Amino acid sequence: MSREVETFAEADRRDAFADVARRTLGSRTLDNKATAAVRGRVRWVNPAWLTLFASVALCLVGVFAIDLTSGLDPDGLSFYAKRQLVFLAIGLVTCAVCMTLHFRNAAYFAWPLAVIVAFLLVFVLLPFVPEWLVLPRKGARRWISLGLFDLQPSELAKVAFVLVTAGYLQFRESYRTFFGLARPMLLAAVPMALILVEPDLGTATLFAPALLAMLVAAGAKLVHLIGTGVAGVAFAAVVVAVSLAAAEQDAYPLLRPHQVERIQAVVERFEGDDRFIDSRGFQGQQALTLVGSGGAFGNSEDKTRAFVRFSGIPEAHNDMIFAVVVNRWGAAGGIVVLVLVALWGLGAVLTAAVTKDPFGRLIVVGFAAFILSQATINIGMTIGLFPITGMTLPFVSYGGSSLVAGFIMVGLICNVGLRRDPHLWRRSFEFDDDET
Amino acid sequence: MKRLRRLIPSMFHRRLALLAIGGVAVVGGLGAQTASLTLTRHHEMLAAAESHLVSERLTPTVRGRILDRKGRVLAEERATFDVLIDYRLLTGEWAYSRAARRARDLHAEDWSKLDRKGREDLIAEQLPAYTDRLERFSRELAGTVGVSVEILDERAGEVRRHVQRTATSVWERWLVARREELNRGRELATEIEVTLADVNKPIREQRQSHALLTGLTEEQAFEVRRLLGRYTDLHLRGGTPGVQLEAGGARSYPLETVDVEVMRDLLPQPLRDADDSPTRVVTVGGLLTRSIGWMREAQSEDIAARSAKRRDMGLERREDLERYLAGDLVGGRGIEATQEERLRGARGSQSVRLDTGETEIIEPIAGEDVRLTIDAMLQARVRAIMDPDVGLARVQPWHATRQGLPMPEGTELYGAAAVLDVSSGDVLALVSTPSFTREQARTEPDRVWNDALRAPWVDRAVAKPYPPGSIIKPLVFVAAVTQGTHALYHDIVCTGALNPERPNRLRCWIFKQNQITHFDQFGEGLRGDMAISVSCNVFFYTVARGLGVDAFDRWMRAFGAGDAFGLGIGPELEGIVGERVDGTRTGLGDTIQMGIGQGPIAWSPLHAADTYATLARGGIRIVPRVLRDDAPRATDLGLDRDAIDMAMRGLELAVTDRYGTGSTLKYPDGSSEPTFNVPGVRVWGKTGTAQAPDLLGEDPDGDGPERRPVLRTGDHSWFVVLAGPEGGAPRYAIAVVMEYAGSGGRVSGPIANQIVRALRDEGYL
Repeated sequence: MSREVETFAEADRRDAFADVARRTLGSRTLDNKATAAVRGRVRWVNPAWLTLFASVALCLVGVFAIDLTSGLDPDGLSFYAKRQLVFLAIGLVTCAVCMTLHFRNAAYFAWPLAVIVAFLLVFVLLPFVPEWLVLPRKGARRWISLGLFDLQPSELAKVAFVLVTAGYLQFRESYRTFFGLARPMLLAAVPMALILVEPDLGTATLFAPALLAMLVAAGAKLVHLIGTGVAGVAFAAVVVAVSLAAAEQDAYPLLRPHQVERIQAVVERFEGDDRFIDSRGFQGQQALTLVGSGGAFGNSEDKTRAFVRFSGIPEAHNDMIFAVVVNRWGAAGGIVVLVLVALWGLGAVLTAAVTKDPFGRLIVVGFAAFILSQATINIGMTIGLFPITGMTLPFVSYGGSSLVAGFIMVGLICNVGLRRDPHLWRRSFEFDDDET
Repeated sequence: MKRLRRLIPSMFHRRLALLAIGGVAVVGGLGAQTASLTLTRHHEMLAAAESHLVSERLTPTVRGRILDRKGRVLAEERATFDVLIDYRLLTGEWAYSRAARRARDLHAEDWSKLDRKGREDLIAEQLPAYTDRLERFSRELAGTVGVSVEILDERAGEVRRHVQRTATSVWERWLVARREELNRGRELATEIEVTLADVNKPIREQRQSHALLTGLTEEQAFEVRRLLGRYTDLHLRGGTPGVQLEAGGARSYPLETVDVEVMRDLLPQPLRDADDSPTRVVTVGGLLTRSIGWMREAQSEDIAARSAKRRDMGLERREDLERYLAGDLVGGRGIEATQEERLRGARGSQSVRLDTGETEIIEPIAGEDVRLTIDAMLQARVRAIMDPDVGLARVQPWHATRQGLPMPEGTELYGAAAVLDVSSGDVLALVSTPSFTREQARTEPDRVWNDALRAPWVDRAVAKPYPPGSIIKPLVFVAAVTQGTHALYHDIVCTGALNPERPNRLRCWIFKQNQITHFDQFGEGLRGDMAISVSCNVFFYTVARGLGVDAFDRWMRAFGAGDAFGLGIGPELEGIVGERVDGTRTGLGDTIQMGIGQGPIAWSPLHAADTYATLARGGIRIVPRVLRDDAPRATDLGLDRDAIDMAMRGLELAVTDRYGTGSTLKYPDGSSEPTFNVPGVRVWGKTGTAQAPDLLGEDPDGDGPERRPVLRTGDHSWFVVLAGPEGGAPRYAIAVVMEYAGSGGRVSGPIANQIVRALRDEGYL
């Protein structure tokens, strides 16, 4: 046995974290090389199924909740709920497609995909694009009308970004220096900037935690990350403070008026200032009311339909779906959703843990970071912790682009989970020096 | 760290674990907040959510009427319509926000790229369309209703000014409150600066509708409704209509102005002869305006007070159909204000559960009627008698005493009169001149509120202090006899002054005017009845001195001087007894002065009528009332019956005996006639000529009190009368005071006589 192989074998034995994962998920059979040989390089029993399961469960919760927003007298499933089911089917098919080819192939598609997405992101902003193709909604240009559904390039941008970044980071170590962080950050800055001008501050923000999570997983030095993070947060704080102060003088140098208003609404809610509760605080207040009136175990279906219908809350089936869920099924329902979200994350984390492929590890972490931070921001704004921003709750909210993009991620995560590591695969992102 | 490395040897897995822990923490935080919202704030939020499910329409109620003792309507609700306009339409906020929305829609694609200036320019382009639209609406509305556009604009201006004034005062209050709140407990530290900018959030009035036109008829309302049908775009964000037509009852006061015929036949001779016609018609304006009061628009304070009251009662959460809404009228003064709770009634409501379609109808509750003891026609007659046009309330030649006329002949005199029903304590009339109409209060506010001489806003019958002068004398006598400090039949010799050694102090009026004494006149000492009849000061100085400080005060208070009545018609004077201006206790010298109604004692005409009614009842005091629903409050003062009889005899002599101070009107030509000449009526009475402090005007240059101009000077003229049918007991007590008019007998006497006549004409005698 060569020295190198020995090292890996030892490492494998010591790898308690992975061991635990394998034991709990019955991977002992997978250790049986004979079995593995019989099944090729596919690992049928793997934690990624957990993520798929959580996605489908969240989706079904979503379909029921979306149906509740359709009005008082349901005549079977509502239009939106049915469409969401169709999207679910499309999503599952997409998911399956994403599982077929080995995920490493995605690394080859990453850059072409990124270029296409970048083009689409620029495309929606072009002023001469006819309105039948890009219809501005509420002042934002985010959607390309494709007949059956509207394509939101920023959703694809998330996938592309994760693939490109994972591809960039997988074999490098440069990001372990402070200035080496600049390039990955530049990778994030491009889609962020394009999405910011749509404008879609919420989606743009998501790239930061995704990049951060990937860098953390890839072993970037925590000192650098914390330093950069503190600087970023300080910058954001300055932007917010300046915007709030300028807004008093009716000037909006940095953020747009509606963005400032949403921040003001949260600040006012924490201060107990209810002056603007019917204007800029309206959506947030209605969401809180819906959530709070859910109680421990929720309301009857009719009641929830009535509450949603007459609260006048905008985007109930979409951004505010969590409020509907809690109103119908109470704290219990809300916690089930949160548990499913956690399960989704757990599936992803375990998948990343059991795979050795650096690209696979990073895309799983990147996707999980996107989905979890998006869920956090959405739920957080619904329960009054964050400003209102147009962001969907992944898998639960109505919306084709978001759902399909979500299932692309799930498909790729499952793909990673399904592929057995080749023998003697180098263990990536292990650095012996001080990891902080 | 080492242990961690041993536990998780792979760095990647450690990092994953770190991320996982972060994720779990975040999810846990979200779960905690969700649980906290749903579990701790469930009831509050559920109530809020439920409230969205109910659509409620309020149905109007009718405010109760105010009726006089004979059922005449003094105030009632007339079915009318009001045009309400949202404040934001008046300020241009509506036009601007509509223009802004339009501009944004038109330039949607570049909107987000424009700076403030660019946007303003685009909005300014759109603005004229909306301001023109409002102007056109205003013109058409004016045409529909039949008023000029100027009037409409003026009314809009009034609303704006009113709201701005309210806002300013509300903000100032908030500012003070906020400053206090922030600096509480920081006395030693630097003060936290609070400016108006910190508190100027829009007040309720700035987000409400205000009455632009009121009192529209059914036909006008119909036309306005058609007009509004063409202007459906005048709405605000959220669909609130900017202009609404509302059925709002206008409060009308049918008897505010009445014509009264005054018969000349029993007036003093010079007035009788001045004109050939047997009657004179006097238009009495502002009948009972002060007592009944008026309505004003509900303000934030009313709304806040109402909810505070409900909070105290623990009714906070229940629907309050009595609550005030924007544009509601609330009693502003007088009975309208004090009886607000009874008069107001409660709106009805028709609420529909939007989810189930269930309808709940609560019928409106009409406000209660409030019935007064006042006889509106008697009141009108008394007012007419006291109108300067009739002549009694003007300086006349026969008012002259040896000192001459108090003021130039023809000067208008102002005063008050109260008429009480002896048996019940009911106030039959409560007159104060001059008066004013509600219209005048609105159109000539300076004349009503800023005229120190005429002071129309003061209800002189109950709210202004007058030294009682000699009319207090019978009370002093009865009190002293009851107290046992003065024997009923004890004579006192009038020596011109209480202390003959010091003839310039505490003199008798007769000595002061004619340099003689009542002893000179009658050759004997005076008994109580005679002393009352001739109003001998020395007698009552002596009696009051015997009574002493404490007993005097106690008795006067027992008679009701020093207490308000709680009539429910607005501010009342409590009266002053035995308390100097500086608040110190009085001494015997004051008590001697008070024995003739001077010094530290003052009351209102109603106090005077009340005390005489008590005498007429043989010592039983019934607190006067104006609201018929007030239960009578009676107390027996335990007065000496013989003393009362003697006092009553003195009062009768005063108006019948030739020596009586109130018996005869003497004219400058030497002729005379009895003061009281109404046939078939028996009269008891007492004159009073009370020294009064000068009436001072406003300080013209505002630099100190010493330069205030003297507007009136001299004595107040009192006459209190008890009247009953011939041969019978007294039934009505009448008190008249005319300010700075001089002699009680000459000025107030003929007025009291005409009031007796009015009582007879109205069927009371």
